[in-house]
Amino acid sequence: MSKQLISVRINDELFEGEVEPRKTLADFIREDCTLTGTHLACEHGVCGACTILLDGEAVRSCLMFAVQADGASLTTLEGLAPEGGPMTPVQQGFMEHHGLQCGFCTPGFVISAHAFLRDHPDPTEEEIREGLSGNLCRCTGYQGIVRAVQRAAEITREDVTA
Amino acid sequence: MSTVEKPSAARFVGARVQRREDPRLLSGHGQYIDDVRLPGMLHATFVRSPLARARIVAIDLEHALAVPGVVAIWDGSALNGDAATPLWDWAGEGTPFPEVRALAEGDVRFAGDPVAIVIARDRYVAEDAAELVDVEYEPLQAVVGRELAEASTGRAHDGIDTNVAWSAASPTDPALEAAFAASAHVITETFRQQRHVNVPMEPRGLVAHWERGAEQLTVYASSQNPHQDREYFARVMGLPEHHVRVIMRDVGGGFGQKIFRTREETAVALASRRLGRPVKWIEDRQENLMAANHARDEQMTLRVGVDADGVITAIHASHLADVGAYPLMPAMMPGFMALEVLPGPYRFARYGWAGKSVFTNTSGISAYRGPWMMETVAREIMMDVVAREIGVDPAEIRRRNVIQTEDLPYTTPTGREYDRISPAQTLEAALEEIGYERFREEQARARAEGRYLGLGISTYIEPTAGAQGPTGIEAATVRVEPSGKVNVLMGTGSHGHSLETTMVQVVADQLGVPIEDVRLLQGDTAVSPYGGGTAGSRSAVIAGGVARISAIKLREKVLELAGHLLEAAAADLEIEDGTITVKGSPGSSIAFADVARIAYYDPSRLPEGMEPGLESTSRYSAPPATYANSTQVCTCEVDVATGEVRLLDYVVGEDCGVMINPMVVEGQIAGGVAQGIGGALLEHLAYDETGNPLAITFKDYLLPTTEDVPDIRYVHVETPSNTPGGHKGVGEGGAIGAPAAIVNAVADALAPLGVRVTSQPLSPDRVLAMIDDARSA
Amino acid sequence: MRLEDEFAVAAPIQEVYATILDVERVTGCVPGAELLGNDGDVHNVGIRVKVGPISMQYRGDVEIVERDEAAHTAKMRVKGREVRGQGTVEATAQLRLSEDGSTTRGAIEVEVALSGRAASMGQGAIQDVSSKLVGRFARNLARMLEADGAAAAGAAGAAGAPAGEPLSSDPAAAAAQVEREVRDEDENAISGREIVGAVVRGRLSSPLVSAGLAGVTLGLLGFLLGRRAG
Repeated sequence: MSKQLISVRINDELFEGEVEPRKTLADFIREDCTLTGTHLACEHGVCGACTILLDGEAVRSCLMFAVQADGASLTTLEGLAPEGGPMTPVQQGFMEHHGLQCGFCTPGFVISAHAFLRDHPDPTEEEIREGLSGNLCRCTGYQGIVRAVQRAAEITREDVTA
Repeated sequence: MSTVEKPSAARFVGARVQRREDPRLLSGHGQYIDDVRLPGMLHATFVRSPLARARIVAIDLEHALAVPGVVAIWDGSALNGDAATPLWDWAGEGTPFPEVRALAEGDVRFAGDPVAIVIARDRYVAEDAAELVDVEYEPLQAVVGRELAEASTGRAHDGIDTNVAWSAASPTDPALEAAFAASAHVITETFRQQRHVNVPMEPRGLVAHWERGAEQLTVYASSQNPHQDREYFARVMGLPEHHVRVIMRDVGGGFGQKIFRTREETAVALASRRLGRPVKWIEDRQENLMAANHARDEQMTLRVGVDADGVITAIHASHLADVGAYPLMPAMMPGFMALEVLPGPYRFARYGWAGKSVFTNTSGISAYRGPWMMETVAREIMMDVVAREIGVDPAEIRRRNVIQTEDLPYTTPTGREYDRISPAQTLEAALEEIGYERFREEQARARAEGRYLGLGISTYIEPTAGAQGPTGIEAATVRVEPSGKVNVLMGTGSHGHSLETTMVQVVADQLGVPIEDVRLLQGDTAVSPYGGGTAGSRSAVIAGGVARISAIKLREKVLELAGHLLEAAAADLEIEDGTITVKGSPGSSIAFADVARIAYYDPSRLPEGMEPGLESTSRYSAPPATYANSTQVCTCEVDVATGEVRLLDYVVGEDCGVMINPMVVEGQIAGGVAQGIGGALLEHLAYDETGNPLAITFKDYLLPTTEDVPDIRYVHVETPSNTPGGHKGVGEGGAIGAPAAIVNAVADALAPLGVRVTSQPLSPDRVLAMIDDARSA
Repeated sequence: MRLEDEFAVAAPIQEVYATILDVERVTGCVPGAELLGNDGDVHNVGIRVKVGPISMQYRGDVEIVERDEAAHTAKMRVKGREVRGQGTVEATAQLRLSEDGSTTRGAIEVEVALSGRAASMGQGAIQDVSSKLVGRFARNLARMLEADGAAAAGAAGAAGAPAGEPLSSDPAAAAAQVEREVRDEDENAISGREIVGAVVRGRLSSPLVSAGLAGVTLGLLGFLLGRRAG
């Protein structure tokens, strides 16, 4: 199968590579770029574990081909907080409220929560539940996740007012 | 609510300590199985049978082998012979079991049965080739459906001339029949539970690496149980155990599905040895739903006798389980365990049982969070049926039967010995927290308005930390390194259970060091002592127990050495925050790190006869079971126009003994409750009558989402167990209790319509059908 | 599983019956179908069922096991398997034509045993694919008859779609024409957001009775193939 040259900026680093047109964006990120923080749990667009930010929008990287991301700028879980630097409010909220157990769905939840809070800085619990209903977790019963997002909104407000 | 007195030194045990695992997992630096990459690694995929039961007439590999990048393709006849033994064999007297081989050979026995393994340079190529493997099948009659299997003219397995895998019953007991005859009411009902799948978010997978020079198999496993994996691979591959190393790093959930290694994983290991190269296999979701092991798929008929007041006089339970084609545990397990645990939290003397398991041409059954939980489903729904029938309030009927503290110690009719449990307390605590009386008033008002609210109760005793054979003991090596930092080495297999936090809490408390100074190393058979892994709600009890024992032993040595150095008696010393001080003499102290350095580097300063170094290994053999108890209460509203069930409030009253970390305890409960909600309302791995699985995507196999699981509240009762630390297990309880609570809530809501609820899932279409049936009855 | 479909063609019944049993000609009316060879009443046929971005390709034998020209009925037996993949299909199809004024009505009853990924989509999805195929088939059949000059007017397909330009009377050319049109029709990619919405809506039913959600299931079919896509 003929390959296509693409260049994608991920977490502010430029990745160039030759990929088969059928290669999914998720596989490109994980295999070609060795950024394994993005997880695959269904590969048919339902569970949301593979969610990343593509030009700022939350997308499911298992439903896109890598060639469709040519020229785009992506953020994965690894790129949310600076290496060794402080966690983002969302990550902090997940830590404080036990928003993860096995951690496999976590990349998708954290990325989705980032996109959600950008659009809903002061969400109600109901809005959080609706906003994250496209991500599946099998460990937490979502208790800690909902609270984590509430806490993240709170931290963000504190940071703004501080 | 009672609380335990904690040892005065305790600073971490009992606290909501944030997880040590989280920074790594939240930054994308976990190491899951698909993140493992080795030089020269190849990728495997499987050709699977599309048919539930068929003869394999011919397999043509020609086109598949011609795909560039394909390294090898083997079918069963080519690869199975590499295994030294059947992969597992649960055959016994009167309990036949099929020969389990890595790949199907000659015939296929469920849709998804692996027929050939394809190894290629990448997964895309492997899947391309797998599609081109040409298998000719001659369809045979498939055995499908637990209630049809026994009478089916088809046979699930060649060579086993029955589909009954196990059948047993308690001896005829005239006293039991006499008790029924003397009962004011005898009520019989059958409860059904559909097939579930554990659905860890990370599907199965492994990397097997046959290292030619060392003649060693190294397996990177997505497992719950590295040491049992080592034993397994050594046995089936005919290797000495010390030439097998199993490493599990982060594991994306298991819930029982990853306790045992499976046929595909074995095929990958065999392939790696043949090729002398690392081979990776990562299952996709469809394979996981189709061919990884399933759970539940059972029914139980209860005959319950009660006196005029609703006090239970006798129970007979009969259980029927569909264990699929290749169950990963003995065919008797789901039924026998359920029947044996059934007496649960209630006092009654007369009990009889009968159990049967059948083979079918479906994916095999394995453990799933509380694999015996049909007993709670049947018993607790039955309690409500009886209550309704004889006109007693469902909370009241439980009060009249539940085991009280003054009954302890108490032995159940099946011989389980309870002590230090509190089922009456957790029942009352949960009812109080949900506001039982207030809800009844609200319900009455709602009914007057034509709205259907309901409340459901589920009370149960949870046997935790079942300790026997390979899971009977646990070991902990606590090692203070020369710098004073502490490594704890254990044979656990935490995969979401937070043991990297909780075990460290236990050890840090005993050694008196900051929690950051302690780290748990687990999941590598080359590093940790033999342990029973993480399953069966065992870790808090057995692993927590031995971590404590080992740390205490090491603490004694630290104090003896420190006393020697400070010229004080060990009994007069205390350790806090990394400093050892003579009690009452703050000036007389030594840093923990200095003691460690001296222990390793300056043997001349040790007391006479003391061995250098600071390390302790202990092993703990736990009692056969440690009992936790719980009551779950929930309320719901049923929309009788759409059939939708909405959970309104959810309370869990739980006694898991001394909590190491309440945040983790609540997380375990919540996750289990969510799985129970899934089972009660959404999840169903259905097969059609020919054995095609109908729910192999997340579109059809519905998991609960944020919108299905309500806010859960907890009431903790802490009755210490008699194990070190006083802990009890907590991993499975949520999933055990939730389905019955939800079914009871729905049945309560719809009681005015005469609806009887005896099966799950309560999906809107089924709820509407039940309402229709009741109306037309 | 049992599938039932109906169609109507504005053409005389004898004409329709003769055309349908002329496997070589009629293959061109079935979207994605291709006649690979004949052996008496046994015809080796390939068919590609295209759903969204994905096509499932089957190859097998169609045998006409009964024909009754007077009653305008026929029975066919189909046995095939996926060309790429492991799924199988076995079916018996009963065709019954009847006259309704100048229109010929056809009823098809199919008893089908499917395995593999098609089977896992459930009866609802299969019925949906089947109805779509029958609708297109009827429309194409009418156009073929029209091209022959035998049909007075257009077709009234099951889907109610108007007939397009007449179908070539050359089977190969007709097949190519049909395939082109089907491809154009099917080129409506499904976004992840729509899938998620569909899944949420789909939660109102159990897998055993997902008939009403056939469209959603079909959308997901595209992703059933995982890495096989493309």
